[in-house]
Amino acid sequence: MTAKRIAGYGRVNPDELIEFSWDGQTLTGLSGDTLASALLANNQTVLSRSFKYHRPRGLMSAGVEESGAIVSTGSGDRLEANVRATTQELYSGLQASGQNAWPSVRFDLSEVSNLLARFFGAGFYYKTFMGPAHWLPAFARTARSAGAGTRAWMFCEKWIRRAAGMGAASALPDPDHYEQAHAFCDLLVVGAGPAGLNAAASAAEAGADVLLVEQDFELGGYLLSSGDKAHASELAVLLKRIEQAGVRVMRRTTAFGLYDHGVAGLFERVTDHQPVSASVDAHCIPRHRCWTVRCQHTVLATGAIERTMAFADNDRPGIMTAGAAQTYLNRFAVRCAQRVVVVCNNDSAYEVALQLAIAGAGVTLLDARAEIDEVWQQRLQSQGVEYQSAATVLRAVGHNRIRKVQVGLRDVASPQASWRPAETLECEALLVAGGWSPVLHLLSHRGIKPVWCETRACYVPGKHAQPITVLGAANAVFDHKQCTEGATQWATGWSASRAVSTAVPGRLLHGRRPRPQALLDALPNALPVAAKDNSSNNDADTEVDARMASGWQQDLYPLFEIVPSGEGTGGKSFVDPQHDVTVADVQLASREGFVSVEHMKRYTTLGMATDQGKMGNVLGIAVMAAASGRSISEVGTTTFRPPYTPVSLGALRGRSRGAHFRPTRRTPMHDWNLSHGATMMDAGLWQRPWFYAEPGESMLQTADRESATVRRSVGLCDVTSLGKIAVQGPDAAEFLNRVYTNNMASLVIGKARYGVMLRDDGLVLDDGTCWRLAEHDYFVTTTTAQAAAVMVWLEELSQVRWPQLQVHINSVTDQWAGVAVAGPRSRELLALLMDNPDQVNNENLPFMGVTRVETADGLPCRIARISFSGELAYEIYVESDYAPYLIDQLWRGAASMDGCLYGLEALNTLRVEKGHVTGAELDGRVTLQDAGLGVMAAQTKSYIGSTLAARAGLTDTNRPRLVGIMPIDAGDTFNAGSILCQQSDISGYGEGWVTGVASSPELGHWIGLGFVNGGHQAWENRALVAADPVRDRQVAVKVVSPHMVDAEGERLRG
Amino acid sequence: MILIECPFCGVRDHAEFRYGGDGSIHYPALDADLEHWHDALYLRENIDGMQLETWHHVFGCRQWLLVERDTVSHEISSVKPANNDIGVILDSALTDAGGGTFSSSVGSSPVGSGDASGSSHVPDNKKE
Ligand SMILES: [Zn+2]
Repeated sequence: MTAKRIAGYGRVNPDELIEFSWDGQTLTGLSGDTLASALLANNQTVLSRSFKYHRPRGLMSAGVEESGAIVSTGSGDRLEANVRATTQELYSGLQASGQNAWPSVRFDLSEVSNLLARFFGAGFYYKTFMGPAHWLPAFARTARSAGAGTRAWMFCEKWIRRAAGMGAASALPDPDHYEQAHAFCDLLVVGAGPAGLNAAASAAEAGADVLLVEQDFELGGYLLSSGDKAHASELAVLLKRIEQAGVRVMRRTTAFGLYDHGVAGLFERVTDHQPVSASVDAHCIPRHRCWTVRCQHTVLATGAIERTMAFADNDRPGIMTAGAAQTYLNRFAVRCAQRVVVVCNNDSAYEVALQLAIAGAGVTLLDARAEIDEVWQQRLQSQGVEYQSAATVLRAVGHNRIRKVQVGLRDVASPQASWRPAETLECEALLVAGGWSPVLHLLSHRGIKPVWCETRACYVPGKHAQPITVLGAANAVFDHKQCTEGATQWATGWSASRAVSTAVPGRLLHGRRPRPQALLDALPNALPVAAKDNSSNNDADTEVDARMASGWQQDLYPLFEIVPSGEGTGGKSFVDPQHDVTVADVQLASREGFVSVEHMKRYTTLGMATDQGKMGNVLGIAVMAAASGRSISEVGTTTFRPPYTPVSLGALRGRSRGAHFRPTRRTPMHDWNLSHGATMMDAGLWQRPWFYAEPGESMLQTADRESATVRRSVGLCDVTSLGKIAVQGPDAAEFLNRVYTNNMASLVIGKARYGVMLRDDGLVLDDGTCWRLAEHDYFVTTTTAQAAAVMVWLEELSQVRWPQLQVHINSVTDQWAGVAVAGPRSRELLALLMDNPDQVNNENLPFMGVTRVETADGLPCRIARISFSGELAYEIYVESDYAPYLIDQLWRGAASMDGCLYGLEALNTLRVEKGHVTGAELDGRVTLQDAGLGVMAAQTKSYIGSTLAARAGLTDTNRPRLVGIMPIDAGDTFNAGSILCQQSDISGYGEGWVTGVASSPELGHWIGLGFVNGGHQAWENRALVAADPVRDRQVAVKVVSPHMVDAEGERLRG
Repeated sequence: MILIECPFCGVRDHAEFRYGGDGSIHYPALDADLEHWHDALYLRENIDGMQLETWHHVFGCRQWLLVERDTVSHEISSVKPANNDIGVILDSALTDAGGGTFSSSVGSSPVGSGDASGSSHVPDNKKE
């Protein structure tokens, strides 16, 4: 028992005990604990196993940068992997367990991989799996010489993934729900430490709408863990000000990314701090929310993260940052150990050493700097802290817990720091204070590169002109007073300049229509304050202030890698513990010529773990600089990308799940179809009837019956999903004439025409019909699939290319519902609905005729005699609300004629029999000629695509052309997607492909449509094979004219 | 996450819009020769800086817009209706409010095409 709760400390409630489980064992923590502080208080030291080497790992920090205590929580469908114990709030019943270990983190049999460590160095994967894999057993080397590495990877992947990796995710569906939300504000403040709280309070008091987000569950940042009584009362005052000024506060919320035009992405953890049952009871509360926030200005008061140093076995459980130990003591009332060694290179560890000593620990402090300030010496002495200057730690000793450290001493006269081994010190915890790294990740998201500051030995914000200000420790201002005063000063100035530019409406982005010029002024980039704001202090002339800003008596001694003099100590010194990247890996990368820091990162995977190198990046860059004889500025830094900390996929997905993944479109006849036995299928966003089975019928039997009924009697099909566009105006005829390949200007009123549109490049965009209702009034139909694309295209043409044309284009797809009435008795059926049957006779409604009539019931209809099935057929459109009535009336008549309802399956049969193309054929690669529609190309006019359609490559007669396909053996079936090959050469792309198939009751066997080089004439009397390599099928077929039924088209004209 | 100020609808998230393409292209007449069409369709600048492009306000007014956007910073310096005639109407409507800048001072919109063959009744002032 070394760690201990200390009475009178912390913000936890000692009277409120909380039971939780760790690896199946029931433990007790306190209200206000994190999982990490509770585990520490219970003396749990080994909390996980490392990524590659399975080394035991414990707590390394007290925050989001945690690289050691990565655990799993929950179970079953709520199993959550890779949770940082340091940010998980403790709640009653929390289940947590170690991961990446078997049988447990304390006894992990995979630790043997630590012994194989030299095989897992930098570039292990590249070297092993990209080159020839001679080392593999023969059966795994089946690949031809190229790609052998890939084969080797596929062979070994399973084994490696099990050995190296992190926690396992639940494979069960996620029972929680998630939300997405939007918010707006004048000022977004990220981080509620001293700087953030002061900036938010001051700006809000001056009238700004301020949103303050804090990833922790408590506001205060450093004020929560400093242990300074004055800070506690200061925090109370700030919280009061925040509340009174109306600052909107979001706790447990991480600003995970900054984006263009003042957008921030927030990840709010709504229920992760509660027992599952409570959130389930609440039911409508989501687990997480993903917020899109738009603001005029952003303050980054994101603080700084303490670095470690690289010495041998610096990852042993019991080694953590000094700041973390301070947090555990002052915020969570846990003294991390009885016997403590503090190793530092700057002043910030001194307070920690003192506080631990006051709390009863035996403390030894090793400072790498040559001298220790007099005042500090007195204070240390008064509390009995032993200390030594020009000293550091060479090596940590211990396995599952640190037991002692080997001290290293340097000769202060020597310019080159090398450390000679000195005595060893017994300890139960080693606290490392290697300097502070400002959190500049969010700035990096905006493309602003941090700049290395030698004086403060850290990266500071680079210059920029974006509406972002970095305050406090994030701006490398480490002195408390300067943090608070600087933040207040900035917020006051910002508010003042904001008040001056009155053109900026306070709630600009709340949806009000602003005046154009005012808007331009208000765009974040044009904010006057942005130009003046220079948050970076990295100029030479401001360097003078840097030491003051540090708040330290003495400069930091930049110490990253601790190099022992003489023989190495043999242990591993980690720069990125989460990805098990060592100093040796970085040095190897340097020796192998990885000069760019971005290349080194990818080669070694430094900083590529879930923590994105929060603790290790600077260390790695410093090691690389030393290895290549460059300065840190010369090496540069890698780019941080969103998210700052992991974001659940559920939050990014929000409610777009299952049926809500995309919109569902239903026709007005949807319910009617269902009540008449329809089985529906998805056609794009639409739900369309697939087939209407009678009891005991299979899908195929149904489709056969339906298509046969249409050819024999009459059938009804809901065709509402076809795109419908009203094209109106004096120039409508001219407009359509330019768009369609055939002549639409000559279309007479009361007639319809089949039409095809090309793209600019001469390939087919879509086909459909065009009805001329009046001189200036056309009704255009498109395919279901291309309806939206055609609408956008026509709008582009009319607005952008030909603004001179007086034409209006409106989508009326939702306004009109349609039923296709097809079959030899369709006219008879239609006549039943009319007062006067002659309204639809052959004279009044001839082939391709259009009429607008009222039925006997007074229902206004648009009817065109057009056919997709090849039979005598009509399309009837009514206003959408009347659609169920219309189809009901039609169905009464059809039923009396032994007619049927038919769905997409039968529709497909009918069109394949006739060789009519759909989206399966018009796939964006075919010309008019390819699709057998050459006659649709007007010779007397130009139209969109006509020029480029004449290119040699598109007019080659040997291009794949539309053909019909029939099996040689009438009993055979074949699949859409098959490749058409010559019998002698079944390989590669073959001679063509099959686009659609159908069982044809009319012909008594299966048929298909497809494309074959040169068309069916080129293959007369020559058999092909429909090869389906995926399903391993080969069927002998012949290619024929695509018009397989009623090639002369007599039926539809009768 | 960029914001586009639609002249008709106000400031909107780009998710409401659909990107069109290069707004500086002068599409040739429909009967222009293959070379002109080839160049208009396939030759594009790869601009590092301010670029004229077309956007369509799909989930809004359905108007096509001409947007000047910096391809590096995403800064948008102007948004106008692609149909300059509409810009002129907007401008005159906004005279009271200090005037608008939605129309080009000379000629018609920068984007447009030549005339189609056989449609001489249509005014065409942008022939290449
Ligand atoms: Zn709009």
